[in-house]
Amino acid sequence: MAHSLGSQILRTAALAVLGMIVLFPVYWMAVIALTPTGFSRSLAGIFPQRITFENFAMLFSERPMLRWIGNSIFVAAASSFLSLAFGASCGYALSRIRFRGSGLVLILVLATQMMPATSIVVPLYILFRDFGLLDTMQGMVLGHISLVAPLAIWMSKGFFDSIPADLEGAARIDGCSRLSAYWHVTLPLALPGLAAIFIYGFVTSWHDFLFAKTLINSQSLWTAATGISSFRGEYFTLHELQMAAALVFALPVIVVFLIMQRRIVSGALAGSVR
Amino acid sequence: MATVSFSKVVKSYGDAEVIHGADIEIGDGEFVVFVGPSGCGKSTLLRMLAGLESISGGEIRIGDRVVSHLPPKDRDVAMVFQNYALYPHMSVADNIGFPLKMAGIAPAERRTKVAEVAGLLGLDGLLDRHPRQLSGGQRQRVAMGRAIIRQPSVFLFDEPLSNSKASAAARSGSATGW
Repeated sequence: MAHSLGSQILRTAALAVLGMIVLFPVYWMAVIALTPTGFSRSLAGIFPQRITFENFAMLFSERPMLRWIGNSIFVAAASSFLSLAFGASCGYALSRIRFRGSGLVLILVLATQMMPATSIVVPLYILFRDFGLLDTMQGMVLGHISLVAPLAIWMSKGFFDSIPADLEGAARIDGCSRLSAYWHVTLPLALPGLAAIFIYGFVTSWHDFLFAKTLINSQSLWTAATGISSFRGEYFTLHELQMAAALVFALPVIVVFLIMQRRIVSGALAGSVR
Repeated sequence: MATVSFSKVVKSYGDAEVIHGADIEIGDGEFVVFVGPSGCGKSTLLRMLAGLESISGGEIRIGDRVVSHLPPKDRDVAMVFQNYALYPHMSVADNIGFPLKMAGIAPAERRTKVAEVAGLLGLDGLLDRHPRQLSGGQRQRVAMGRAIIRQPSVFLFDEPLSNSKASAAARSGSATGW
């Protein structure tokens, strides 16, 4: 008993320490964001001496933070939704239909993920310049789809593989066409997986800085990631504003995650097949 | 019910021929059992008749219709799968009523028919449950209910009674007219 109590205390303590290490940067971000502008360097200790919300007010009154966040939400939502629609259709076809070269398609899709984003950004820039897509929202969405779609295809293929094909067979015998069997049976069962893909796509697009900085010039089209970087100047950096912006930047992702995580439930397939 | 005939039906996967020209005549209302070692093609025959597997040669008729290339939904067959293939996201009532829903039958009529079939199979108290909350035998009876509810021309059962208790088996036997 004493042994288990001791190990429990030890485990709890270890988790608490780990939690503090992980959360400290977030805490420090909040502390700096709540410090009056220009005073973060004079902080003594790890607690804020005077709390103010002026940085947040300044973000929205003197900087177009709302617009940047709006751009980010648009780009992230559009690119993750389109990647999901595209990836789920491809994944379904690759999972269910036997055709020559399907293995090769999968390998090629995977190969696109093997190259770091930094190596494709220059060819993408040249391509987009030729197509007139530079400095446009459409171009930005397209760029992010190229980041998210390959993984969406692989993940959704995996989810569809885990749904027994007999369920669709049963639905087709019960009066469904292939498409309505997909709609009535396969899609509802794949929802948890598709929700996970959506979150992955949203977060990837939301966090992207490389494409956002390379493909977009106009300040009115900046995403929040580019906006936050603009607080860093050559000679001085507005740390307090930057940290306030970073806090605001983190909120939409948390909201999306909280909404979608209810869809990610395990055991949705239990009881369907023996 | 209807007659079923296979004439010179061939099935191959690539170069491997697995059904070598099957000729089978089944009369109207006749009860036929395919018996054979595992992997000999019993399930493949059933799946070709249901339309879930394409045939590589020959012809399949149900009644006087050639169904060889019709999609499963247009063949008027019902099938109980070896693994039941219940829809896990639907209640027992929705599982049994699904073929009627797809046939466009009104909810009120659907409910009456589902209750009738559930009564026959001893599933009365279970209509609101989901497949995961049922025992193996109960799941099998749900799969049977889904097959018998729309009174198709042909019933196909792939290893049907491997999980039922004797009493339930006898009851479902009488329900399907065996």
